Amino acid sequence: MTDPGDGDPESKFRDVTALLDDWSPDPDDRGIEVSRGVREMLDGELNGGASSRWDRDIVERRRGALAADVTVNGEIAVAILGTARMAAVSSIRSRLALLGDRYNYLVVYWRDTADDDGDARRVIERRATARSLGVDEVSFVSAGTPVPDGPGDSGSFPTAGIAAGALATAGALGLALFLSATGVARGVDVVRGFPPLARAFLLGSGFLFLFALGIAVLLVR
Amino acid sequence: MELEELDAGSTALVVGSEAERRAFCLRRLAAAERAAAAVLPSDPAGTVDAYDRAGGGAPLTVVLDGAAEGGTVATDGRDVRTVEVDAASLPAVGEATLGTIEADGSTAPVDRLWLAGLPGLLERASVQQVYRLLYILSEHVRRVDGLALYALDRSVEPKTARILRQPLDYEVSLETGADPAIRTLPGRAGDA
Repeated sequence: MTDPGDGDPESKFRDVTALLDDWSPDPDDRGIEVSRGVREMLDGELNGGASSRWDRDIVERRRGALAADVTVNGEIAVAILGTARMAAVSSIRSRLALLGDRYNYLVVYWRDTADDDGDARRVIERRATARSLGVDEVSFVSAGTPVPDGPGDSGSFPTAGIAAGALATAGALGLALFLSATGVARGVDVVRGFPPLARAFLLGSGFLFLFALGIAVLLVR
Repeated sequence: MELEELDAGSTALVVGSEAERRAFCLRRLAAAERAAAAVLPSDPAGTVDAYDRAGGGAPLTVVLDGAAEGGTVATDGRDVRTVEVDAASLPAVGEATLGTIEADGSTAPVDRLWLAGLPGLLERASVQQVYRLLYILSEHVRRVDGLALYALDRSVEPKTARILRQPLDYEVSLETGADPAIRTLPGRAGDA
């Protein structure tokens, strides 16, 4: 009578992750309203075709600091987190560790990614691995904004972007120098004829330009 | 020790060795007013005798593993009913157990339930399936103002015990030579 597929906990975890990935709360909802919305959505989607009470998934909203916001069949925990900020990294990691001690599967749902600190989210996702939390699997999904699935993926994106940017800048500079080598040589000859005060002014302006360029690169990163 | 520490209309996870669990649960089963049920006990015939010795006067239903050897029970004129199930099927075990709670009129609905075979069910099914079983049984037991005891071996993984006790009201820890330690659990879900 037991459907073998029904007993596959990983399959249920993937179903829950996929459903949350496609779901967004009402923009006006906060806190308890979001967890109610998650529970209602999961209950409706998971149990839409259930024919008997033994096929139904038990979707519950939970209370208390030590519990998940929503659980599926007692074993899959859904933690709903607000805006990711560097100041909250430690407390979020502590909460995820507590949940890892109580459940075998963990889905972290970022409720509000519009104003969050992307670095804080990446730090949390990179460090909160299934192994470090003591769970069988962990996944991160967010309302609206797609984020990389795995912690490894989330860490590789910035490095690749910076490398590509640096390569493009070096190429452009090389081309400019090659094309204007004669002009630069003439310019240097002209500057050598300037009085010392004017040369110092030009040098200072050059350093100021490079400094501003460096700050701009850091801000872009 | 008083037997009324566990309220009517509640459910408890009972953790201890097999002998400790059996003694604790049979004493409470024997206090049934309407009827009692023992589900998948390891020694069905011995369970009926022990129920009698503990003073059990209410009718007893024993849910048996149909595939197990030595699963027969000699009723000897006692008010004992047996139901055979395929213990490998959680829905079958669940329906047979619910049948004792939702009596059809020929027997009284049980007010004391002992799920003795929980360790075996955990070996054959996933934690999620077993959780579902306990959740559904507990809802029905509360509705009839009964008491359900779910017996678990002490060797079970702590996280599994933490998961399974979520929908329950009490956890009872049994240690040889000590009184049972009864702990009220933090509470069930807000809404399911």
